[in-house]
Amino acid sequence: MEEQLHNIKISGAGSIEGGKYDEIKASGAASIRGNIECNVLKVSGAVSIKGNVKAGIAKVSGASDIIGDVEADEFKCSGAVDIKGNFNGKVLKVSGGSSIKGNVRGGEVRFTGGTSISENCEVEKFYSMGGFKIGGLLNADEIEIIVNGKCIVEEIGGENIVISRESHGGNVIGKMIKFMFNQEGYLYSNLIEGDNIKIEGSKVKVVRGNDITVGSDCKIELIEYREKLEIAPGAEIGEQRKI
Amino acid sequence: MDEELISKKDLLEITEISYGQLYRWKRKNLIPEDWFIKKSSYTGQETFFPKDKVLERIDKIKNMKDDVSLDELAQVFSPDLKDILLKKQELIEKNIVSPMTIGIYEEMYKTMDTFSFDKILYIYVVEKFLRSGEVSTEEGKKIYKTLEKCYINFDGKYCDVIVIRKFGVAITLLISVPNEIYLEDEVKLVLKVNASQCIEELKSVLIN
Repeated sequence: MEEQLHNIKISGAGSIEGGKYDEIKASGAASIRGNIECNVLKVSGAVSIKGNVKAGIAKVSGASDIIGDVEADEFKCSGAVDIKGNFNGKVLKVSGGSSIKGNVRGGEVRFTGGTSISENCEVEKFYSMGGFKIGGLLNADEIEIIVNGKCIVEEIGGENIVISRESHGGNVIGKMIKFMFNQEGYLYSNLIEGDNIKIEGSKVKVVRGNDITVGSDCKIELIEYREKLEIAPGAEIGEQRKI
Repeated sequence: MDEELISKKDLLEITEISYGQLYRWKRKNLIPEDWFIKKSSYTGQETFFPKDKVLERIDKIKNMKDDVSLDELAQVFSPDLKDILLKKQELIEKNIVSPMTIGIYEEMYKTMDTFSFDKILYIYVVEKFLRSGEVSTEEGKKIYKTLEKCYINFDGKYCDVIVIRKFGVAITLLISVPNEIYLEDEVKLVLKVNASQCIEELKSVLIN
């Protein structure tokens, strides 16, 4: 029997119970109590969702928080959104000072500025511009990090890892960003392992890979490479060896 | 007795796989997270793996990855019981279990036409014991009943099915892995069968 799903809209200081809906729109200081499952979720303001979220497309902004796990096809959040649980989804786009206090698993992740993940981030593609923090392992096939602020990642593992100071597309934008953001940021990590690694603006304990290119603005305690190693003059390297 | 460990470095060298592959297979749950064992060494933290298990697993992945997607491969290795249903005929035709062992099941319960994955697993385990020649059909029935009653407690975790015998009395035990067993003098360990290995064997036959 096909379920008839309804839309629901809540604002101000109201609250609703969880459930299955077509579209949920919540704003203001609204609260949702219980797990929700919906096709579209639109949240703004200081909404509090006390339960797990399963959505097709979700847009969350403001100072909202979700106390539970999130599963979504596409999840966009901006502002100071707090997810006190794990995230699992195809596309995750975060901007502003949002945080996920669990693990992130999925397809594509795009961070712009100030995001933090408490545990691991294991996805297919990871892109970040600006500062961020990952408490555990960042594990992805393709990793592109543009360091424009303090980036802290416990460990990085993957296939192609590019950590640079400048955006590779569009010189005008690159210059604007350099001007707007603090260029003094570095990426700090204990271990970076990958097949092809290009690294700039980073302070790392150990880097291991097949093909490694190190820029001048780097400080690395130990590099172990299998095929190729290129180090720009000025880079501070403790020890390097071919394995 | 500690299991022999192999360092990540040595592992990559011996198996000739790349960092990208290792991390991707970890992400896809083809190599369980708890096989990544962190130990302190002079360079800081280094990662080690249970040597025999990981070498065998990587060998299997390398052999199968061109024919099957990584997600399908993950299902072969995960210990969760899936909703597979098979007809008695298929089980016999595919040589998964012998008609005799199915007959033993049918003596205890009624004649069945379709078997769910957990029943197939229990019958498969009983058959291993029967084939060893060390267990009688009556004892086989007891093994089945024990599995049916107790296996659910392991719910996806690794366990061994063990039969011990003292003076002609056989006792079935389900015990979590890893384990070490020491027996009293007149007790004989008849056979130890690892349930998750049976699951892997079944799945690679059933998925084809």
